[in-house]
Amino acid sequence: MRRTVAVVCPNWAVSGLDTAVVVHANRVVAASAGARSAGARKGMRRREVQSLIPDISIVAFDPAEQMRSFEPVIAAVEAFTPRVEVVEPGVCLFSAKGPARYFGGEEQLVWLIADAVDALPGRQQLHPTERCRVGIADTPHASRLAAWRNTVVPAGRTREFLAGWPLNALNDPPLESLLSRLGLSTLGDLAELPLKKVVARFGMAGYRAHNIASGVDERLLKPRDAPADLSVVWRCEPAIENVEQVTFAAKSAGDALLSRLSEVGLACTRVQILLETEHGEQSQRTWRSSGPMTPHDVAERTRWQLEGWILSGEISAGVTTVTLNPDEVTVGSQSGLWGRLGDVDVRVRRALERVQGLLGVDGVELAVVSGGRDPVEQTTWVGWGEPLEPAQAGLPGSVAVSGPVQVEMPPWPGRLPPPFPTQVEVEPVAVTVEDPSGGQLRISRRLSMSGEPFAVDGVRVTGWAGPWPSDTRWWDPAAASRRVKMQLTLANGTAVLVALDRGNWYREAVWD
Amino acid sequence: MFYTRGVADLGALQAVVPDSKRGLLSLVRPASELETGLVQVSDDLARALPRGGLPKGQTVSVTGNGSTWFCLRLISRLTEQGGWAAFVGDTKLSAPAMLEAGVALDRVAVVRDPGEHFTTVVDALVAALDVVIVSGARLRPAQARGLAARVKERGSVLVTRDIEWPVSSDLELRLKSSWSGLGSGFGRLDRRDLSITASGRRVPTPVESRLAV
Repeated sequence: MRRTVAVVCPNWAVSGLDTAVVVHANRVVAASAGARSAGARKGMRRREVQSLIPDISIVAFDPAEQMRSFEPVIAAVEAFTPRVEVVEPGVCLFSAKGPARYFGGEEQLVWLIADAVDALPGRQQLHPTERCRVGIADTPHASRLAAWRNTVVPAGRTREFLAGWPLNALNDPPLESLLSRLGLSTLGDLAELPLKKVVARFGMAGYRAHNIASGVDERLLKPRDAPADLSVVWRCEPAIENVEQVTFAAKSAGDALLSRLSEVGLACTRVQILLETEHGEQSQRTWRSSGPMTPHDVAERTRWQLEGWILSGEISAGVTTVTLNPDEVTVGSQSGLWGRLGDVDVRVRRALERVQGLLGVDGVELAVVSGGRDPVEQTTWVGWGEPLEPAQAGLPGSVAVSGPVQVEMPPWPGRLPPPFPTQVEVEPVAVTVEDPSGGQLRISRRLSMSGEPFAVDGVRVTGWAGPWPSDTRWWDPAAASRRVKMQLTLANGTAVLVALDRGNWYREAVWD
Repeated sequence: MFYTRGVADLGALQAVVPDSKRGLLSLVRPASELETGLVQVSDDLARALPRGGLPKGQTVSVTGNGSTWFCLRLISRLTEQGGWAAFVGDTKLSAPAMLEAGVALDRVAVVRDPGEHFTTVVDALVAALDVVIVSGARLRPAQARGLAARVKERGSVLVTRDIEWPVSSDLELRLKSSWSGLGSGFGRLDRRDLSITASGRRVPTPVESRLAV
């Protein structure tokens, strides 16, 4: 049992905004108080929310930016205890033991922290539901739930406190839906089942859920400071002055740390990142994640920490050392026999990582096919070593497409038929498209043309198809675009896709 | 299985052999496939390249319209077989087109914007990958010679696509492309004819071949 204080700023990404939602992968991940009172809920699709609240503002999902803005809150909490664990933007935890005694009891501590956080500039005018909430309970998970109700759960009564919570407090949607179909509706129901039976039926996920529900620490090992020899010190010679490169150094250090841990069968759920500069300045922060950390997680958190540090203006020189200390470890799940990148030749890996060291993690990318109507949307660039996921999926099912090679493409109504253009302009390039009279080719609202297309940038047109109207995102004034597209073959042997947008012609793609 | 010397012979054979003997011809392989010093390319391209593949340790320049598609086809067989290729300085590649050309996407690293580190990046990549395709850069002769020496030493292939290479390449491929299928206001792209002229230091007389896709 470890009394934990949770400090939660509800809906961090949208707090203070009137009606706004954060959308990630087409689903709402956070909604402001105004948006919720108008009916917006987490998990809704973007369009559902837009039809519900037409004038809603949609905020980009950007954890790094949110973490930077969360920095003052962390600083305020650090006035109470030096060991703050940041979970995600808007949520941090720390151990209640010392601070509660020093500040005159747990109740007292809760009020002091809430007042300190809400006294920060810009937080006074917040909607009451978005004020800072603080809770204390016996486990990290329960303390976050306690924070939602602004309560201090007395020591040893966490299980009773949790009993009334619905299953979605587990934060494990597949298991929740399974358990609810089996007739369980609250954490109390789950906690009453014998642990052995739950593990036998649901494995590790069941074990974790049962521990959460019964108010037992969900970690598998007793919390202890990991042996010091597991920490990794990454020296940068010469000092690095570029955020990208520090992030990459942290990723390499994370790789080293996690492979060292996995050799002894451990995984890391809390890591302490210590950055040191040439001038001896230090920045130390503890980061917690709900599951085992990946090298990418470590790199991401280092970037957040560094950017926060730069923002505070307390850093005056390049970073010389990145130290990762696995603060808390659990029994790790074994990765596959060969790992994900195991089949890549070690020489290739080293070369690519060397280039990443020069240019940052996104310096070396792999292409992934993504859904989308415009050619530029059909490619997602993914940094080497990160999961190969497209930015937008296609609709379910897929169609076969003919080419030199059969390609399965996610279906997307309205996109160009194959062959696919080989060169796609990320920013459309302005071109001139002439009609036979030598003037600009004009196309009316009803798609009648001022003449046949004659030349593009002075090169004769040999064949053309179209024009097709492309009226996208008409429901969103900011992103709406009404264009007319044409496919042309040119005398120099290429084919181009050109689009007319507000009276100007642009080249969108080339079949080179 | 019979082997003939030189692919030009094979192309010539194909033209003179009567239809009734075409079956036999499929048993004939270019002698170059016996060589280990080649990066294998797909069959249609093998006919267009003087030795039936990309000679390791050499620089190849590809210019003209259709070069992107040609370069993608060049690495399709390689990446399919688990080899690695990289594009450096090409900002506009598209994943569907890469797939369509038969490229295994998880075997192609793309450095879209190497910035000032261009030579360092190419140098690091040719040391480990099989084929590196560069475009969108202007190099000094000394830098180009340095890279060519590095390629020779490591036995990889450096392909320069549509850029002026300040020193002469071992193999120069000039492309001419034409699309058909589009009429006046109707139709869709369906066929591309590519003519490839190969010349260079090691090719005594320029060889021209045609490819229909």
